[in-house]
Amino acid sequence: MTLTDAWVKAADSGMTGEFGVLTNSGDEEVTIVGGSSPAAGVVELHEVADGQMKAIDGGFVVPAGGTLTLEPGGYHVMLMQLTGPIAPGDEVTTTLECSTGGSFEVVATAKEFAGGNEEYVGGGMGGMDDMNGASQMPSMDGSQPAG
Amino acid sequence: MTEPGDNGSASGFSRRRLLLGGAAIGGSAALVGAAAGAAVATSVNQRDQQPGDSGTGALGESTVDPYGPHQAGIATPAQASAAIASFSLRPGSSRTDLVKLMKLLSDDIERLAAGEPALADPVPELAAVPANLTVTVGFGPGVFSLDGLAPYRPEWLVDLPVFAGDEIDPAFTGGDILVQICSDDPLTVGHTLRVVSNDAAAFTTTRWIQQGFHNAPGALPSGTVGRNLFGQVDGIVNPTPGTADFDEVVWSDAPAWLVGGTGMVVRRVEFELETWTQLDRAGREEIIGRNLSDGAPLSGGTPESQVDLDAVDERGLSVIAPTAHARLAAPTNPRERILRRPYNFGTGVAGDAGQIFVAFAADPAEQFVGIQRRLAESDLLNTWVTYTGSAIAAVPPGFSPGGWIGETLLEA
Ligand code: HEM
Ligand SMILES: [Cu+2]
Repeated sequence: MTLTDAWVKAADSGMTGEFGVLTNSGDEEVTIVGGSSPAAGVVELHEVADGQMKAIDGGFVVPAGGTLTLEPGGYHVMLMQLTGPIAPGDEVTTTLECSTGGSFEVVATAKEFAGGNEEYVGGGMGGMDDMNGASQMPSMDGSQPAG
Repeated sequence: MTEPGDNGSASGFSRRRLLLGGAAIGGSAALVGAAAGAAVATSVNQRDQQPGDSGTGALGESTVDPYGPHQAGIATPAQASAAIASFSLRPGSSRTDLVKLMKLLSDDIERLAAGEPALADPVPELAAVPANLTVTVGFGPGVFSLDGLAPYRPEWLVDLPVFAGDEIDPAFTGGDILVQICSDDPLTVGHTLRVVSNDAAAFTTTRWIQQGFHNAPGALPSGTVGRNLFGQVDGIVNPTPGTADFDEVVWSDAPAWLVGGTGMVVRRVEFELETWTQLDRAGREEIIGRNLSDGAPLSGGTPESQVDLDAVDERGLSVIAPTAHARLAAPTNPRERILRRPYNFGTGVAGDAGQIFVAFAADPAEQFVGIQRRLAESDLLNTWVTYTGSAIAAVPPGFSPGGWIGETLLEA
């Protein structure tokens, strides 16, 4: 498993998205079920529906020999409770866990990006008290997810 | 389809041939029209095949390799459209910041040159038409005040002097990072500039941007030297890429990090079109030393001929005037030669027209400054031009996959 063309939306604080193309070069379907990163207190796997993002049930399913694109407005890895600012050009390391029990490391470049501002609904995970990254992800500003 | 170079006199004629003869390649609009059997009226916004263009989109897909010992956009034949952008590093910037910026830009360049979106591309759809896109990045003198870089500054890399007659506008002068973006498609130049500016924003402020243009691709028979907004054939005398001569004029061999790189000089020049047009033709030709019809020297020969500075007429007078641009610009020593790669700018109406003069030379102090001094002092052309902007940069060598522009300096 790899995440190619990996990038992260630069953010001062709060949370941000990580994107790229998940590529499964194996001959069995793999589901990405979770992740972790020194840059974030919490890592979730998100999807976007009706302009709102939420944790995806099950995980990201990548077919054998196939790909799954993570992009703004679609599937993405959500880095939450950022441990510090992620500035353009920074390299962010994330470990993604597979249903098979294995995991792999991704190095993503932080990029300035104006989009990807879908409102976060629920999830229930922490980090939402930390939303002053709102200048980076403005539409999150108004959301007051139950923490 | 019309054959390349078939300038069918009336476009209606060619269009009919297209519909009757070769609709299969004509795009869906033509097909729909033909199927309906009607006189086709497509939207003005739908680009139909034009006489002389292949109509296949091949030019749009055409790419220039961004990799190699030299950056692209220097030896590359000048594309139709350009933008030169100048950025100032934010106060307090570190060498690490510059490394990050150069890695980001190099990644953008690799992708966009291949017709693929940049990472985090704000409009990925606009990346699909590279049309020979090149992006060339240079370091202005200011870069060398970053931690530890001072010893690596090439001696010639200092702000250009203010030359006699210069009316320098700070709004078009200087900069720490110069980026030259060229493509045969102006929309692509715009998109690339946006991507570059987005990535530069965290590290720099934009100092100035100057757009430029030449004839549309395919508008002139290949190999034709284009004209500037004065109507002069401009760009005849230039080293030929791929020759030892070109390599010697253009590619730097010192300092070590700059081997395979070059020096870049930008001069923004405004044209006084109104008064220029008031001159008679002979006067306009004398000012350059070449004729207006095809650019041949007034001393005789073909457009490709060198001007003969010693030629005299029946009365014993110099054929090429003492103040002629071509005389003053001619080298006074073998080293004093440059690669000129200028673009036209402006709307083209009087008061808004000019040339963004871009030149490349291994050592601009040795090769450029002397020419510019002579021109500044005596060029008759100065009556009709005003130099309003100036910039200089060291253009690092090229890069390879996995590498990045500026590596040889910043990892030193
Ligand atoms: C002000 C705007 C300028 C215009 C409109 C202009 C126009 C021309 C034209 C029409 C020619 C003759 C045809 C050719 O060889 O391409 C020429 C030649 C040349 N120009 Fe310029 N030029 C300008 C500025 C400059 C500057 C700033 C420099 C360098 C400092 C320069 C250097 C040269 C050189 C080296 C030649 C070839 C001379 C030779 O025959 O050896 N020009 N220019
Ligand atoms: Cu999310």
